[in-house]
Amino acid sequence: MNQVFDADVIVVGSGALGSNAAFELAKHGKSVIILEAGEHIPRWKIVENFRNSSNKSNYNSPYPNEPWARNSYDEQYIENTGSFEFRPGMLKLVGGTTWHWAAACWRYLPNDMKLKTLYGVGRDWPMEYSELEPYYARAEVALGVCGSDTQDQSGHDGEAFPPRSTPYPMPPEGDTYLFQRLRARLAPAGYVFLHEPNGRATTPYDGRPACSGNNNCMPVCPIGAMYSGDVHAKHAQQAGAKLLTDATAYKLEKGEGGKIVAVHYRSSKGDDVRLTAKYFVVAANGLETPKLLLISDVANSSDQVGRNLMDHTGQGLQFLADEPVWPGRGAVQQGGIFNRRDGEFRKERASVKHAFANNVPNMAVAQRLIEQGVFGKELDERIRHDAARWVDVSTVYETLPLATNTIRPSTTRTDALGIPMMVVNYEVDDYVKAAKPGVDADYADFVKIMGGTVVEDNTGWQNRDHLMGTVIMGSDAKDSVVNHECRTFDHPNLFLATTGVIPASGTINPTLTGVALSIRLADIIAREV
Amino acid sequence: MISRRKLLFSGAAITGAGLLSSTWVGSALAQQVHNAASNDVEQLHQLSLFLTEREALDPSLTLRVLARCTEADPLFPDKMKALWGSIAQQGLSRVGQLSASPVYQTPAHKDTVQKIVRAWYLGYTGTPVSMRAVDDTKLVTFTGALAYTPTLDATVIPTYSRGHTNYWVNPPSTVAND
Repeated sequence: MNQVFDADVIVVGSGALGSNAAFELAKHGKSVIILEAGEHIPRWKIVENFRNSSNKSNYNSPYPNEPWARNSYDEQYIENTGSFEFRPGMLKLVGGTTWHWAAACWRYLPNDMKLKTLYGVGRDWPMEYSELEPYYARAEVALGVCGSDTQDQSGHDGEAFPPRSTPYPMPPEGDTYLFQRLRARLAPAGYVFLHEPNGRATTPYDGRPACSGNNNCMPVCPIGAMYSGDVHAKHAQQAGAKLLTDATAYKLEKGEGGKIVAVHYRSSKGDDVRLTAKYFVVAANGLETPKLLLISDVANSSDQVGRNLMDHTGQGLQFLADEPVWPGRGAVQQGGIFNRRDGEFRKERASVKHAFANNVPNMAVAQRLIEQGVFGKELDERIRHDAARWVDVSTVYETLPLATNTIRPSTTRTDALGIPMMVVNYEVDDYVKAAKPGVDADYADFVKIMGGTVVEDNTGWQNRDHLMGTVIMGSDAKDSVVNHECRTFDHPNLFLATTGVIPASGTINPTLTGVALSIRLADIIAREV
Repeated sequence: MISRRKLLFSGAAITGAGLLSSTWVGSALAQQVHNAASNDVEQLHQLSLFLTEREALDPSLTLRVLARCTEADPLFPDKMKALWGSIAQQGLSRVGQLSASPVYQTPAHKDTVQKIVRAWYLGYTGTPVSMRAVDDTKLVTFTGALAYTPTLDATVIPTYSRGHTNYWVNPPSTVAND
């Protein structure tokens, strides 16, 4: 007798990764239900929330923070037990955190995926770059990525790299004047500048207009030129997927043969619902996904769920250049310096990326001058002078998976639905610290070459909101949660669509890779369902 | 926009209060403004013109600055008047003299100056706390924040682009003199 299911596949999470997986499955004719803890909020409302926010530097502030769907800046969301305050800016609404991500769309290098083999540290991916490449190509089409087809993205100033089977869907945006001036003065000293491939339309694309330089990619693009996950949440629905909002998954139910048979969710209205499916995809980001697995007691025979938490822990530099470089024209970021992206040095220390922020700096500039006691006409003159010269460097470090860097369900705090919040333990290790002297030397060099005046060159370690490692991918069920398909070793019908599967962080923003993996796992599921 | 003299002598502060009672301000703020003595409004407006050296300031924003600052500190009107009195007593004719003057060396006065100037330039009161959902900040204005005006010809107020794709490949036309 055939068993009746509520859906072929249930996807937990409507962010970029979950929505792309759902869309692919729906296109294959599969019945799909998407569960989203938050609600659908139209773009115009988020834009108005931003404009009316009193703390615009808080990128979560325009977004909901409901008692039943807390965003990550809520005081109760994360309790930290380590020396570093790990607190990424994660959202809960249809479309997920790509509402405020600035849309960097990098591919990993082949060497990034062989870290252990080549450099003797960390872990290898259980797959080759060539296996992922076709899915990178599809992910770039899905997200509408613009990029350069000629740059050596390894940072070695060679031929176009890594290998591509297709060109970028759109040409890159023009270089900002800021980028031009920094490159003109720093490149002769040996610094390799690369354009950052990104999910901002440079021509109208998939219903999105071309970027017009609203300079507000974070916290919200007012016109939707920048890709956000709501695009594919909508596409998935149009392809037949059913999206349930205010539906927080809290339990994956195990059945016979190691299979997952149901997911349970609660709503703010008191619903407590059990849904069955043939396959399940958890796409609830790199913190919420391991939390759901742990509170469900699934997929953890390796004892690796919630371990190996990685961010691209970073630091920053701000200085005033000796010439007007005029940040604030165009999108908020465009690229940076990649000399230390790959090389033998990775045997000893982390790889590093320097990016240049292009935000309108007036608020930071004015605040600094006011604190210095500058007022009146002089203040206005100095704001213009300093805003034109403001250089903001954001550096990220490669991190290694450490079993002691963990996310666990809280045993003392719950949300309004009675679902546990989180405890995070995160320490910055010696591999990262060993790379810091090189970064500090770069900073001194940047300031010297640009004739700069330092505003801040000792920020301490910073969050970069790139969640990896927490449901780590590998080739051995004894030390990994998922295999190269993103299929859990313990449950053949449970897949994880999250950057949390990434076993080697490199230095690049992981979202495009997460989308590529999500499209790939959808293809695999579609063949089996 | 109205002049300082007009505000002082024409009852424009009352007109401003009328503006504030409309829906965009919110009833609590409007009520506080109605409760504020018109003398407070006039003095804050004069003081703000002195501190910013602007030709004119939006009187509806003066009301918002007063309301937000008073909301955070009920003694703000008294502190503001004390500051204004000290500035007059010291005979400061230009704000450029302020930071080196005894007035600014008085912590209470310095704090009041900082609050007023920050509210006008940054467009909010209070202290932002990073990575937290709750802090004590209150919005005064976004597009009216004075920090934006010195560069309006060169950069955008975020979300209000006036350009088109790739306008940013060129510097502002003023770059040679910036």
